Amino acid sequence: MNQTDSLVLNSSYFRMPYVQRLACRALLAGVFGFAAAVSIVFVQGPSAQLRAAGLFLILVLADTGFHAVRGNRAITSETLRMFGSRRAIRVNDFFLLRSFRFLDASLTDAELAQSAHTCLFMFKRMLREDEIRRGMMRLGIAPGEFSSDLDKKIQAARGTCSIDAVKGLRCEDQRVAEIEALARAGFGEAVELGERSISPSALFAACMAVEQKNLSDLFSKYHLNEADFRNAVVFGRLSKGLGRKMRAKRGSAAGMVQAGSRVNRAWTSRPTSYLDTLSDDLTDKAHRNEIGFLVGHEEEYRAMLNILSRPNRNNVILVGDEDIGKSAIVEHLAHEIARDNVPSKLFDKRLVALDTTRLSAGAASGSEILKRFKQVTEEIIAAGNIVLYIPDIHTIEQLNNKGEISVFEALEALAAASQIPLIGDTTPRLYRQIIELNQKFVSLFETVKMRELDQDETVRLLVYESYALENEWRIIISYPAIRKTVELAYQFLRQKPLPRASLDLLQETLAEAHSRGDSVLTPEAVVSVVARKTNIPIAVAHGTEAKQLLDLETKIHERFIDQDEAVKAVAAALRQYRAGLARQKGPIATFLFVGPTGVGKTELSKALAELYFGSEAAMIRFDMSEYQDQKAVAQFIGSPDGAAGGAFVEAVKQKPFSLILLDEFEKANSQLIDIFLPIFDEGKITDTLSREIDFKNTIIICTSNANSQYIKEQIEQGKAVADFSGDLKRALVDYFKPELLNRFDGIIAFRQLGKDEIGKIVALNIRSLAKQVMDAHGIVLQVSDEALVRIAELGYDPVFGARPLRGVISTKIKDPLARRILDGSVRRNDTVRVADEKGDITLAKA
Amino acid sequence: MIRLIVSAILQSVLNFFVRWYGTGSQFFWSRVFEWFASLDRTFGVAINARLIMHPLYGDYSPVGRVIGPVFRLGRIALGAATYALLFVFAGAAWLAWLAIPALLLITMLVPARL
Repeated sequence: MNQTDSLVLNSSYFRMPYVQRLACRALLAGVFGFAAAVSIVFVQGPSAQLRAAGLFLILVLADTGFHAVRGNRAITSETLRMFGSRRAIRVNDFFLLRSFRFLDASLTDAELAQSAHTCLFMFKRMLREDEIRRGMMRLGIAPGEFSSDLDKKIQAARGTCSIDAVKGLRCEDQRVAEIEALARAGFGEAVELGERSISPSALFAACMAVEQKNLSDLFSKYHLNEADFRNAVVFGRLSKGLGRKMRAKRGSAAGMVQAGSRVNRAWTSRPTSYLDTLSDDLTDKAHRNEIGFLVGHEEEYRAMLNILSRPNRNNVILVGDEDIGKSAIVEHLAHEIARDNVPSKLFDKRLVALDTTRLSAGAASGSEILKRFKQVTEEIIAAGNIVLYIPDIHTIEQLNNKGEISVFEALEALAAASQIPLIGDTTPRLYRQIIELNQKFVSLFETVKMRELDQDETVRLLVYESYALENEWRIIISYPAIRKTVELAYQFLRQKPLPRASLDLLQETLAEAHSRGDSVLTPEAVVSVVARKTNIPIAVAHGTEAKQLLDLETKIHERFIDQDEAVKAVAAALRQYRAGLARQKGPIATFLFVGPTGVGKTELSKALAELYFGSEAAMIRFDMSEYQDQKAVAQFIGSPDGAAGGAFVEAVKQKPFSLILLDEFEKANSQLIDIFLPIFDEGKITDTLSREIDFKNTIIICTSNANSQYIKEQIEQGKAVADFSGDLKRALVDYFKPELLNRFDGIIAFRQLGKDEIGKIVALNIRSLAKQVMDAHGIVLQVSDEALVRIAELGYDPVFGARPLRGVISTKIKDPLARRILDGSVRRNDTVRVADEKGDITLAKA
Repeated sequence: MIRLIVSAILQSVLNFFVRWYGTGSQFFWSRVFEWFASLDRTFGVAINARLIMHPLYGDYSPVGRVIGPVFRLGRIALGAATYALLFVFAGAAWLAWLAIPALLLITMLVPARL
């Protein structure tokens, strides 16, 4: 049984035909109008009786009029209890007049159009409501476009009155049944929206639920459902309500007001005139509603509150990245203190933020700063009602006075005395580097680690901020755009934590949308900004890029010879990624290329980097043979104390969309190799400062010469790589852990290059050289076929593969050519012919 | 249709009394108590009552210990008297609220003495 089944609509009014309803309304209006006229006359009457009657009538009429507009009854907690326990509720009393009129007018439209679908006509009328229009726009739906599609449906519904085949209802009864269903659903939607009466927005959402079957094609075209619409309306109201307050707060906080020294209500404190010159009174600001708004961080706030309420060791240090919300929760504490919403230990206290800049400003020496600090401390202790907040508490450590007691030590003494609660904040890196070195200090403070806001909390915060931003930029921010902003900021802009990253992204996107003259901010605008900032192709590939992806193997083979299996594997991985079909966790793809030296393992990576990632420079390359010892591990991933970042971690942070090539992977320190387990699985790791490093937009290629001999033997026996890949994997267990091997998307054996392949590689290299010479010097380089064969012979080594080729080309062609260019014997527009003369490579000007 | 109109008229009159006396009184007193709570955040009568034996401004000398409760008592008395007066005004306003329709009805229905 549906919860709304217990709701009852007195539908006697709606059962009347249009003319009768019109007459009823006219008569009612006439009666009340007459009563109003009578009351005015009576009020001016000669006798007290008449005047009293007139006044009484005015009171009744005013009350009736007021509640006719706002609903006879409000949805209260008592109503909700009745609704929850499915007791009968008469929903007529909860309609706003506007909502009632929509029902009535839509019923009339349906009657005149001889249609049974009142909802269709109601949709049409309600699209003129401001809140509904804005709700649709917030969902990224253009009301005009939706209205046009709706017109087609309405046109199709005209003159379709017939008896219901299932229930046997006449058209009029079908319309009334739909009104009853709408009214019941409207009440349910009003409850979901937290309303006191059934508003037009609630009815609109109810219509969606009622007409789901008939309009499913329209709703799916616009991705519209009642839950999303409700969210858009709620967020519109929230952003207006709280956003207006936040905007006002910003305005009033713009001018700094120096608070006078205050004594508390309980008369237990003393003035702190000196402290007031070096600090800001946060409780005072909270009293004026300038600060205190907090989204999320409930756990951290409660933890901080519990620590501060203790009888001793009541000092807390908040540790978190910049812009994560440390000062927000301290300001929220000030807000709660101002409202007496704190434990008794913190009742009637002043939360004061010490400004270390003002403390040290103009001081000639460290001892003067210490003297000031001691004076402040004495005032604080005498006052007895101060909670001291020191932002960036690590800066106290830097106010050192060589040879004498430092401010830091004085602060330690204050903390140890537990006379006043202390709050400090710092970042994880500075906590490790400065605070943690002082064990005594650490023991006096309880640490509260600040976590980043999650995406839902950030969306909520952005909704509140959106009111002010919409007014500033004159652009409506759609709800999908807010969700996309948070999603993409979290995924791709990890240099700053949420919500800062998403707020900055939203501002930047609004600025761009404003310059384009857009009136609504869409998710596509956000995607475009993020793609530009990060150089990561976020949107699904289309146009030129899609063509390139479809033909990627051919493109790769234009500069890379053979090794078809490997080429197919990497091309397939990229196509899946750009079509949005890559696996949700893990990097784009992970490959282990195994094979002898000089067969193209690294060359393929370079070709892919140049072709798809822009250039070879976009590739992050590490020779893992350089990371064999323990010290090298710290160089690779970062020092344990967080003082130095790791080369690998920093490189990926700079280029989140890249190809990572790890050469000679088997030679790396085993501890290092283990780090790749979570990277291959989840696509992320946590660095030494507890920050997440995201690998989800990288292709990781590891190369190895392990078991090359085995591969060579298998290929010489004429076996295809696919035939012995299982055995190869088992053989690789000698070099890599099985759990690591299992995490590769592909382990690909590279075969030895034959003479044909070498010849093609030579041709490729010579073509590249000829282009270079033409571009740089305007010289045409022609190489005979015999010379190409000879170079291939000289450049091939059974052990080193094609590796010597580069050296041969350099010695036999590049060096002699360079000499001729430098001595002027070869100039622009000349042609140089390279030939094979009895086994020697010669160059001659044509 | 006539039944509907008559029902609407009768309902209006009945709802008027329910709202005036029931919902209106509830609303009035909830606002009054909220107002008192916010007043006390400034005047601090409750907190002074709780800390009545505490000296003023942290002065724990013998003199301070004597003066403190005296001043606090004075503040509590003054505050309580103010609150009482405000409560009386609120009560009077409420009674006036209750009386208005009743008086009007009585004036309407009971003929004036000649």
